Amino acid sequence: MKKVNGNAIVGALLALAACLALYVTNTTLKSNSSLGDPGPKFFPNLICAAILVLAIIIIIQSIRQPKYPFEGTLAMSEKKEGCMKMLMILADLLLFLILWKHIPFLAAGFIFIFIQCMIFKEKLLFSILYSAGVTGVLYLAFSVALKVNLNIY
Amino acid sequence: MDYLGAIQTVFTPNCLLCIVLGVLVGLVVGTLPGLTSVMAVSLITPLTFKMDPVNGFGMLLGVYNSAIFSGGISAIAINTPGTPASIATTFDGFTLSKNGRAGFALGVNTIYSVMGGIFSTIVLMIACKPLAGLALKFGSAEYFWLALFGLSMMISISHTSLAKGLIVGFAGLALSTVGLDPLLGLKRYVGNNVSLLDGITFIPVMIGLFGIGEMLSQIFDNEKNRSKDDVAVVKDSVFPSKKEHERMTLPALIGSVIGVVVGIIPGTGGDISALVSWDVCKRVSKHPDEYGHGSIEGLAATCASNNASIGGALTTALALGIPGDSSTAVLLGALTMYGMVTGPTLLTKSGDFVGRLYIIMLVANIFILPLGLLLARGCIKLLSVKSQYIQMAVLLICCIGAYSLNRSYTDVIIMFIFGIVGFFFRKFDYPLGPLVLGLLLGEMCETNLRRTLMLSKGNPVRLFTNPISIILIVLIIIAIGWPFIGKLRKKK
Repeated sequence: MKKVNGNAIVGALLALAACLALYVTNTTLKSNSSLGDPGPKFFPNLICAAILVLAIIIIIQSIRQPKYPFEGTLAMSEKKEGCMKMLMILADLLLFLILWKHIPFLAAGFIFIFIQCMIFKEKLLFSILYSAGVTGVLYLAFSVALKVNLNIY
Repeated sequence: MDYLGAIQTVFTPNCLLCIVLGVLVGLVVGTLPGLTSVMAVSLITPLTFKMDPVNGFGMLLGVYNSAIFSGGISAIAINTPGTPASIATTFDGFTLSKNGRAGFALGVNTIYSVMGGIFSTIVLMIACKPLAGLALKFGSAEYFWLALFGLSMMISISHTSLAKGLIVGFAGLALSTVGLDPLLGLKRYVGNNVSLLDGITFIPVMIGLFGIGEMLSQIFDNEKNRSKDDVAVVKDSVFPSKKEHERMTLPALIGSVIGVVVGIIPGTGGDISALVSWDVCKRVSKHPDEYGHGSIEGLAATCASNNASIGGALTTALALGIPGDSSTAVLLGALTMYGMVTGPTLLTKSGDFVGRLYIIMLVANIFILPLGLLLARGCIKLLSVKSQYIQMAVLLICCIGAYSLNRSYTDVIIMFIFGIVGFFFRKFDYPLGPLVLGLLLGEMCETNLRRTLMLSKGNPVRLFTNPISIILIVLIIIAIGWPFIGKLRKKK
């Protein structure tokens, strides 16, 4: 896996977010300062400025002493496997969130868990039973016992 | 405070059932490494909004107390703490377990966790009102510094770089500005999204950070599953002898006192209190050599201490509105969602409810005793369950939990985004606590800062003139400067 100076990247992202927030704050919010109240812009501007300064400090620190957070004790093949699994689960989660808005919860939940079972290389019969069991139990607990309508489509 | 009325309210079948359910959920969650008390409390909170507040809090406090206690079960059985609060329990608990005394260690964990929990609840009952009374004398400037003090404490003990802690704390404060401006009611950063008018909802953020983020991190780390052979076998009795009790009482008492004191300090928690207690008890013990090699005194001290920190954390949370740790931050968030105003006025405006919380704390701890002694052996069997089965179910529960709070799809999206944030924060060693605290204390910070400036017609000097403000500023400087002092000492 390629070495990534993660802290520098996060620092840069935070600096970018702070700049963006400063821009949005000063272009979209009205000043409205009166009777000593500095107005709604004041606090966000103060915080964003502080984040910007700290982000620059983190970038400088991480360039001086680079750290590679994804380096660990695991072997390269295990790292790649874990990373791939995580990305697939994340994609599955995103798919579930999209499906949940368009189909009943029971179907979306079943598909979500079933795909995860496949990612974890579980047997087909177990995957079907486990997906149906978990989705069904949660549906019953929330929809029937707690009266939360989980069908949002 | 009407304790008789509180007892009558809590001792109803519904409320007692909720407490028992909470204790059982906490028992399972705490036993399984990777599922923390914060995650459990965050996931359970949305469920409780359908309930009566007393029943809801019965369940939440049951989960919280029980999860901290049961973190010790896996610490004893497999040398891996179920929750961070049980790190120190591994020092002696696992050695006892290896020596064939797993049952005894589980018994000590249960009995002395309950002792610590009850002790801290009594302190909470005594100390909360005077502390809140003191805080009622605070003006807006003092509240502003108090909120910053809470945040600075959490940053200073974050174990990572100060800059990282600060930036995360400020990011939390920045997130709190989304929604309506607290003084003028003007929209900020909401665009056309009406569901953001009330701000970024606290619970989905917590579920994302501590639920989704943790699960993604575990999947990424690709840890191997435990086999049945890795888990301790319980053959002996869970009850210590009278002589052993005599040896453990004093260390447990010391642990309880330290637990409460450490718990009161915002930003600390059961992990720090247990480590400090273990160290202090070792220094005063007649058998210091046994510590780390299966000392029953060390085990009792750590077990009592981590549960005692809960009462301490709740004291500052209920009296001042400053959460002692991430779990109490969720509880404060839940109180706000129940429509209660947190902070020193909580005891005057909702004194009866707070009285019920005290009784719930006592009852939850009492329930832990029989349930813990009976079920700890069974809980050990959970440790051989494949971790992916739990991860899959938890991911789905996180989504439902985030949605069911306000029936809002936006909350689910917020949870998803903060799940990814939580994953990267873990991997890049950014602390999560300051983000949570910043989000919770942001409004208190901004409102009181601007109110002070309004009262002084824009003159910031008023922020620095009051004696209490000066004390708080000094404490903030000490909290932020502490890591530097530590580094200087090490260099010398």
